[in-house]
Amino acid sequence: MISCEEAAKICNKAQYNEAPLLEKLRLKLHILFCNTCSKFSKKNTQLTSLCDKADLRCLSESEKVEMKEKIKPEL
Amino acid sequence: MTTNLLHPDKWVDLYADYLFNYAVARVSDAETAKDLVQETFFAGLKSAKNYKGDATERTWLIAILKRKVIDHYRKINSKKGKAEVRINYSSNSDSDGDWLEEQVADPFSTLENDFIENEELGLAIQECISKLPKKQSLVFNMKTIQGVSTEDICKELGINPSNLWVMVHRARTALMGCLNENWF
Repeated sequence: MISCEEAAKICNKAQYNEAPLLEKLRLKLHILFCNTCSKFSKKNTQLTSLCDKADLRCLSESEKVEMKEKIKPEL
Repeated sequence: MTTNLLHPDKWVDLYADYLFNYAVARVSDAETAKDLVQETFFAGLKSAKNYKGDATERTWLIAILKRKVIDHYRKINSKKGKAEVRINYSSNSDSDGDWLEEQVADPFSTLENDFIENEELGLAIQECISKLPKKQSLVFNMKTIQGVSTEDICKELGINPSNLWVMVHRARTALMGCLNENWF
């Protein structure tokens, strides 16, 4: 049986499709017995779908640095 | 109530993404949206002395950005000459008919509500992200929004994968807490 910490890590990876099958099975098994992780997993998955739904956009770090440089003389 | 103060040196980190999302939904072109955000910061700096501190910094900046979006549409409209009024039945067909009645919005459609709701959701998420510590929001943005691979993020930031997952975990937990009241 894996620890809750381990379960959370797998769950996070799974949100980005980066958890191998075996790990996902371990997570599923853990969730069967662990209420806390079951709740966490549910919410975490929800967060992923909210982020997808919102069609988030952001500026890259280099674009932000550029912006900062541009406003610097005015500060 | 305490009056709000402006901290222009933190604007980019705190509000750039928030303003960018707001702009991109309205001009639907990332490059233009970016320019509008930049102009908003300039205008904000220029009129900083007029800031009375009644509204929060963010609300104040959004108000400026709104003006910038309107100006943008005025500008492209005058470039094209006069605004054009179409009186064709439909722009992509020659058929004619009772066009007003047929062109009104479907009263049972929920599409535009979805759009509005999703935009509100997006801004709510951005607001929560801006409350995260700098490093966490950076990792979360790269991973979740820009979709950069774990390997590339590690290389760029000089961290190892387990560092990365710890930061992702903290960011996601904080976001769940922050969004909890309204969105789950």
